[in-house]
Amino acid sequence: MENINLATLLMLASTPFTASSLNIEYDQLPFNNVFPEAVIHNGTSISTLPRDTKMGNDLNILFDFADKLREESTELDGEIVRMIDKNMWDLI
Amino acid sequence: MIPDDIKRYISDETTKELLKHLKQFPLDINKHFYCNKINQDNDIIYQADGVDSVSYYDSSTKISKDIPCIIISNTCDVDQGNIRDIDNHLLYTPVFRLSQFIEMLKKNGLSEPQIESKVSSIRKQKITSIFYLPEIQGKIEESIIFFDRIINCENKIIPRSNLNKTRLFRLSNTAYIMFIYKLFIHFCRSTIDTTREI
Repeated sequence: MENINLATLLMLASTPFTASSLNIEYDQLPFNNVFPEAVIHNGTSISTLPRDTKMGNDLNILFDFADKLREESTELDGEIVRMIDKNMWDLI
Repeated sequence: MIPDDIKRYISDETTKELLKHLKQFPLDINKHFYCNKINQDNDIIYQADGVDSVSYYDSSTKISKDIPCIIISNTCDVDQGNIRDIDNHLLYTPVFRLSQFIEMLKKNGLSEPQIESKVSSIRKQKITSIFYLPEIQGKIEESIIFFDRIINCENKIIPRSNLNKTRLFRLSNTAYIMFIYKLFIHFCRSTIDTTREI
């Protein structure tokens, strides 16, 4: 529990995995000592901490933000990448 | 009970502001994008600081120039106050002007609606490999960086003594969180269905 910090939360929030899909025991989750009832109560997903507590609410804001960025992401067309390669120095 | 190291991130006023801004995303995010005081910790380069006059080598044209770049390395890794057996190199990627990017798309025949659609996605931070930087009046135009154009140099190559002149910007907490999210998503997005059989 010493190492949980925002970076850890971000990493967890940025992955599509749930505890059950990774077959993680709940006592291995970093939230467990902080928020044991949430993790155990919700069972399968670390991204569904209850919102009716401050901690659950705060963490879910982070998860929601990560979801927005991840789910709406698209890639740049290959054609444009080749244009950038040719015009690199003109763009600076 | 919440341990102290969690409280540091979850409970203070700064974090309340941060969470408020993240909750509103993408609305109003650009109003809270940069730090006003960019030269605190003057001799330290923070992750995602913008720094001018950094030597960049482009492998396509085989040309090297001193240009504005954004630092990708973790702050601690390149802090010269941290003595290490092996010095870390400093990772960075160029800052491109969005206006020039738009000009390039025009010259290459993209239609107005096509360009508008691309630029809108960029401004909303929807392109995985691009991080969008709003304008700072008198300092930088609207700009973009590409996570797939990162290069490295020896840490000592960027002199800390004149960072007060060369540092262009420092991201706010909100923008920095977005930066590392995007960095993480770009490099570490996993596809569960990819088979990696031994």
